[in-house]
Amino acid sequence: MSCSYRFDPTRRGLLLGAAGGLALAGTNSRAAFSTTPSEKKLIAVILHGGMDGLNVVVPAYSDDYYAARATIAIPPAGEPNGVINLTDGFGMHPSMPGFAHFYLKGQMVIMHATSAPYDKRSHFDGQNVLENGTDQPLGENTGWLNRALGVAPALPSALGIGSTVTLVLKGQNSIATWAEPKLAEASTDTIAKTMALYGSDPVLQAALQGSIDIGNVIGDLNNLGTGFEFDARAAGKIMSADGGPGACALSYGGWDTHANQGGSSGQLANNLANLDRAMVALREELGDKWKDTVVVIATEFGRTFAENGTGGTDHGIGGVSFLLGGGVKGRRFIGDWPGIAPNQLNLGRELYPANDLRALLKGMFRDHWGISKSDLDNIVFPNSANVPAMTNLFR
Amino acid sequence: MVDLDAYIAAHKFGLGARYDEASNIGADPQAWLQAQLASISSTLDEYNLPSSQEGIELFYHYLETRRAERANEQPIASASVNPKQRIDKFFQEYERMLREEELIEDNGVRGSSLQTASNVHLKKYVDNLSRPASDKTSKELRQDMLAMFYSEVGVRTVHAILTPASFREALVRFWSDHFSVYAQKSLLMLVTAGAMEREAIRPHITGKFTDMLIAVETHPAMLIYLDNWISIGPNSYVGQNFGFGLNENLAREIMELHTLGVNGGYSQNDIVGFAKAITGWTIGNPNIQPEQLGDFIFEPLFHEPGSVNVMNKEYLGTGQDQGLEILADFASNAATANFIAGKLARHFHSDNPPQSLIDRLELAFTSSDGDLGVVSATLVTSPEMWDGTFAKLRNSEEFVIATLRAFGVDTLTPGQLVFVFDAVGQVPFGHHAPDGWPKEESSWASSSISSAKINYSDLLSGFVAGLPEPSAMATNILGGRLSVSSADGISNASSVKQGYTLMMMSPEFQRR
Repeated sequence: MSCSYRFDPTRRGLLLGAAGGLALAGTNSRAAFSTTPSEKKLIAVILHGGMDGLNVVVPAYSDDYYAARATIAIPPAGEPNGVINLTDGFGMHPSMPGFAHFYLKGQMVIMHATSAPYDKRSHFDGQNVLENGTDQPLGENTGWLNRALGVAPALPSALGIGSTVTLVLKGQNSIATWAEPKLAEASTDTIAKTMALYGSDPVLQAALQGSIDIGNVIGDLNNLGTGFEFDARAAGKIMSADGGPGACALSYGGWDTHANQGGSSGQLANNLANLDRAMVALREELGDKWKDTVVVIATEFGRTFAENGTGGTDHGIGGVSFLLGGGVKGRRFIGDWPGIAPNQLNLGRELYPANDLRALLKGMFRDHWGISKSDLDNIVFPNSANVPAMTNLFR
Repeated sequence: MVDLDAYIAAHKFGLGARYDEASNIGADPQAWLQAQLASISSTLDEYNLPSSQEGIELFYHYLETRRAERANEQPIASASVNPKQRIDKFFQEYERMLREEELIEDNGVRGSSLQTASNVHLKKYVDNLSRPASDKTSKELRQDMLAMFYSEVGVRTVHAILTPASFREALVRFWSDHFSVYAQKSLLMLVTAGAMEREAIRPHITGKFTDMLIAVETHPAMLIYLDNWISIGPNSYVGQNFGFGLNENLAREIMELHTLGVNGGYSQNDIVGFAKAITGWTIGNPNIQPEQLGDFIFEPLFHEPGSVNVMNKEYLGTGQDQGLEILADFASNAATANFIAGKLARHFHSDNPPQSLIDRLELAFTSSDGDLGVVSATLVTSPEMWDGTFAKLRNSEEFVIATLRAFGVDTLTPGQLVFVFDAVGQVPFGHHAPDGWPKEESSWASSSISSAKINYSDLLSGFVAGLPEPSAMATNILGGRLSVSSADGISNASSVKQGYTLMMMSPEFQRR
């Protein structure tokens, strides 16, 4: 990890939550194994483009924030179109009532000022590091979620949504895939007659049968909603079916808001509303499996602290991540908050990345899936023994 | 009845039979293939696509235009003649480019149907072509760059559909994937990725591997993709004065993926030595050698001075030649011959090819000093290729091309083609990592691709007009490969359209 990630206590603004301890919280770890691990669902939501964390979980306490974002800041709680108050002067973007509800109900933790271990600002490299689970671009050609499948004791199966599987789920462990049909669907008669051709080709037979089975579980596509909700509902239906996969990766773009980003309404607000609706839909579809589900939401980086000359923001390192689910010990901010006073910003330009995303992911994998420390340090996140897993993430 | 060997030539070597092609191959399919190797490879000049140099020029013009549209902005090029200030400006601009560049998500496939996809960008591009770049807004110039990418995909696809020498096109795809680049990495990649195939790969399909290797590793697309254009020798002038350092990406991938292979017997120290040797391999840009804008340049101020040791051999500090010598040694290393022979066999024969085929190709590579014409000719004469097995599952791009060849459909626009490729999960130049598209059938026999392929076949069947009915088509395209069960299925289809779909979805058509 590059030295720019070194934690410097003098930069610390205020410590949020109670995540400082590094000791293994034995009781909590064991609690994660109280049900059969194979029933533990895990969903990774990758937001491509670099989501502007400071306009999602808003430091509404800060005059610096309002000074730097004259046209795009979100007003404080209580004002028209203001944030939904969370805690200690932080608020959720008003387009995200579902997220606020998850948080306030105690089912979501927020890790602000977070980043995968990458300190430059290229989308390609940033996404690559976020999903390959190492500390360098192209450090692995497979993703951390795929590698985790192979070392989780329950050997969960996995589902990729989209015609091209996002890197986090690529690798040696085979996965099922489903994509929103971009072309009109062939008739069931044509599909059945194609199936009849595959009697002596078990590979093609299994692939087509898989798509028929998934299609039956999903049912009428018109009931899936629109936008990202469509993918999320489909994932929820597939995962909650009998014998459904234990893991899923979803990706959603549109976060690269260099111009006309908007504030309480506008481009980013619309995207956030889509994300919010999608996660509420996912929770709905999972039904009583929600109590055994964890969802992690991450993006390749955050954006500049100040707005630019075109009503948007450019790439900056520190972003925001979320962990939610029925068993998450929520209503907390975890990790360190480096502050956003001028002397607290990284290079004077962006939120300091005080928290390594891998710490959150490792804590999730250890306590939700029971993956060993050694496998987390070497296989899922290679050469990461220096990044301790977070504890106390689950009830 | 046309001999099975003609179908082997058309499907296993070529990109799939066109209508009546198998019967025209004649009595000697090997001669038909060898003739393709003896011909001159098409570099697609007739399509007048922009060069990578023109693409990079357009990119910088776009940046300048965008800047001019904003208030109080300095030009990209430093006004100073002082090298130190120009280098300073180079890095400032590089970092600013990363920070401000929009993610390329709009690759023209957001249309909800083939009809809406057909008009995305292409029409605007054509309308725009009559206007000089200097009159355009930055938004229009960005669309032009996206359109350049669609044109590359469109041209290489239409050429593959129409060509009577599809074995050559299959070889182009093999080598292009061997040196895989990712167009959506950035706008600079978008305007150079397709050009690299035309400029560095096509001219060397039947030439020396060393020449192709050097052409690729000095091509702007590869230098940008794997970051070598900003890799700085720690003891170079720039390394000593600016605090920028070595980037090992290109060196590592050349050794692991382009030449020796991951088990090629090299160490991390060898990678570092080689990375140092190729520092200074960069691209003329507004601040460094601007008179060579968009071309490969050797920049001594970036280059690590002195000798390097790579795989137990000392290479003296001779500037640009130092890296070239190492590349040539990699090309003639026995590990490279073995690595490439295995890849060729797995690509053209099956995921698990006979060892005898690999050995034969390896020997051809070694004994001809890496002559790819000789290696390809050996593939043609290898008995393993004519063993009558068709075990290799076509990947999505190969499948789409085979269908369009079979039905002779060459009227899809570039936008429609990109849309279709996206629907089946394989847009050319769209694999993010340098290892190229997955090679094994497990990646292509997924449930989502399976269903996308049926939907696509069903759509294409609706276009087909004026061709024989499905059973006759299937016999014409697949000949003796067609199984009784597939023939029965096709003849029992409930409509002509469904019959064509079943032909495309049959195991014999899916595999090669």
